[in-house]
Amino acid sequence: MFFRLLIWITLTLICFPILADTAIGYRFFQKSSQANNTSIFNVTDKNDNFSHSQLNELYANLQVKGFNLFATYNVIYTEDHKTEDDGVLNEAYYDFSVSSLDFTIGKKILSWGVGYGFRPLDLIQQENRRVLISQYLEGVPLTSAEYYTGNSAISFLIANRELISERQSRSKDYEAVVKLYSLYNDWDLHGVGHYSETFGASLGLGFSTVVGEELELHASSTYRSRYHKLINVLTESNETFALTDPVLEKQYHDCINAVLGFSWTFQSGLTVIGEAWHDCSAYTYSEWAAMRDLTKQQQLLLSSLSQTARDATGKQIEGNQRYFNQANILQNNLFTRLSYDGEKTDPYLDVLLTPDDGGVVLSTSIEHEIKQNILLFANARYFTGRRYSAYQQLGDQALIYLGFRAEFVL
Amino acid sequence: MFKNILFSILLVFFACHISVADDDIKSILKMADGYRQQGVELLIKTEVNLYVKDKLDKQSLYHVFVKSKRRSLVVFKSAGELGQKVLMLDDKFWIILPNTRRPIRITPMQKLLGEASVGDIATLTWSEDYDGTIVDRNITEQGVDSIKLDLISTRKGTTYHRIELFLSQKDYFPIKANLYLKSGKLAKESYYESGTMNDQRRVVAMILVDRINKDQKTIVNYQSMENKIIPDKFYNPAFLVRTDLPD
Repeated sequence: MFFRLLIWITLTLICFPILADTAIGYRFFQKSSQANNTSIFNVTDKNDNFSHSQLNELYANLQVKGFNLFATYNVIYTEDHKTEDDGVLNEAYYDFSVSSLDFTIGKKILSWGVGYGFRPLDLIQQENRRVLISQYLEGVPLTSAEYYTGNSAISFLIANRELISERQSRSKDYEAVVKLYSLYNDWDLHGVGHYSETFGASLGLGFSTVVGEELELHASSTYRSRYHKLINVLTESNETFALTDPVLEKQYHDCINAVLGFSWTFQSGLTVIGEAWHDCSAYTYSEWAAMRDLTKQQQLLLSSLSQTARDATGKQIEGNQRYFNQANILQNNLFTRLSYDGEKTDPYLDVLLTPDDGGVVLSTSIEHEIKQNILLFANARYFTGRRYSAYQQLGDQALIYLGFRAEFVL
Repeated sequence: MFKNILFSILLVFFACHISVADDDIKSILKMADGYRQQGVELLIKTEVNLYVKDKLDKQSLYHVFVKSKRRSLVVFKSAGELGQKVLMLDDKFWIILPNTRRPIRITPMQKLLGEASVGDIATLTWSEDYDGTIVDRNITEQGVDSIKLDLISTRKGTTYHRIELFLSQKDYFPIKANLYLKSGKLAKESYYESGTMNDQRRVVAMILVDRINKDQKTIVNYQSMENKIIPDKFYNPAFLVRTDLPD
């Protein structure tokens, strides 16, 4: 994989700089995490509280006359001296026009929503908006036709996405989308209709607008006819142990996602963002409480079991942690961020609150430009809140990232 | 009765006088604009050099597409910003960041606080955004016999709320401007360098001396300015995700 990427980058360097806009970037960071030993999902007796890993990332971005390539290559070094590498062609697409219609074919990242922390209108690709380190999405193979006027647009799109199930089986999902945009006075209006073989029909509406010179408002909502969620079937019975993996991907019907928020920017350079959102594909409080109680019961069992039974139950407790593998763990979320736009230094501090269970996530970041296109950054996150809130039960109590990023144009 | 007639005559006199003064200002500003932007549909290739303590700190390249009805599109061409675009439609603003596919609506204040030079390079006219008076018809500025105008912004979203503008008495070529924020604070002083572009006398460079960050100076070099017919759809915020822009 490394050699293929090297060949690709070499060809890029040789062939395109004269014709194209080409950027090559490099990012390095160290991730340090502090284990959450008080989590009820913790089954290890490890004494080392901290773990570390390093990531090197190279990316190349090329644009020429509507033709676009974007590729990333990562090498991760873990604490136990393991090395993992991965190369991804994130995007390869061509934008072109025929008469008054505009077309796109190829593999492209799709991002449509309004807002910051959660974007219900992103019906095909849901980016985890709250990761501490930005991650590049991998695009979706698609064909689209668009018609633009001065202030409106209509798009038709057919996508062919690969879905990877919870049990790692792969399947193709064919999707069709109609997307509308209109700028009406001061209002950006968005509408999305979506049909997928796997997820059925969805319909979304959204807007963003600016009031005065400092305040931006946005909201969006989607109706989804089908959605999937991982559920431990033991939470729906009186059992505490299953002979097979009890966490299954279940299909549900009819739900509404919504976000409402604002950003307020002051002349001093400070910006306040506030958002509230409801993610129906996340867990209800009762679903989370049932999982939490099941895990507590399984933990109580551990001490009274034989070694073999203890190992099996421990694995099931570890498996329960898959409830945390999604952008929003609980459905209702409140978010606020305070950031400062400086000349060379951009810090922020944000708080995420899950009011149903009293969970709190504190995040902070500082970026400093030491030279043009070379940035140092430090990001940190701390999970806190009520003792048995979901965020207090994650495998990590705290995360710290330290690194730098550099980019060059050829 | 006499008082009413006198009052009416005076009212008509002042109304006419103000009207003449307003026309005067608009036509003077249009002439000054002509040295910075000739034509209504343009592609301007611009290099911006930021100096800190007289040492080059940052160099950026921009392609600026300008169209009538106060529409402009700034395409970023430098490392760290490649693929970034800022769209300005009248007093509304959008940004698309590198390696993203989603235009974001931003407030006038966010535009002001962002890359400061973007506001300076994307707006090349005073006549559409400002109104004011001639406060001195005979003043020497930078060794040039000048007139001094005091201009106030008539629109929201302009980078500067008030401008003291010095124009050459002879041909209204811009000499200097003092640029004030809404708070009344002097933000920058700008100086305009005369040269020849497309066989005509033009502003070929603008030197911005920062009065808030006093060790900073920005030199904006207008590398080329060509007429370019750009369809209306290129100024549609949703079109920002597309990459088939003309060079």
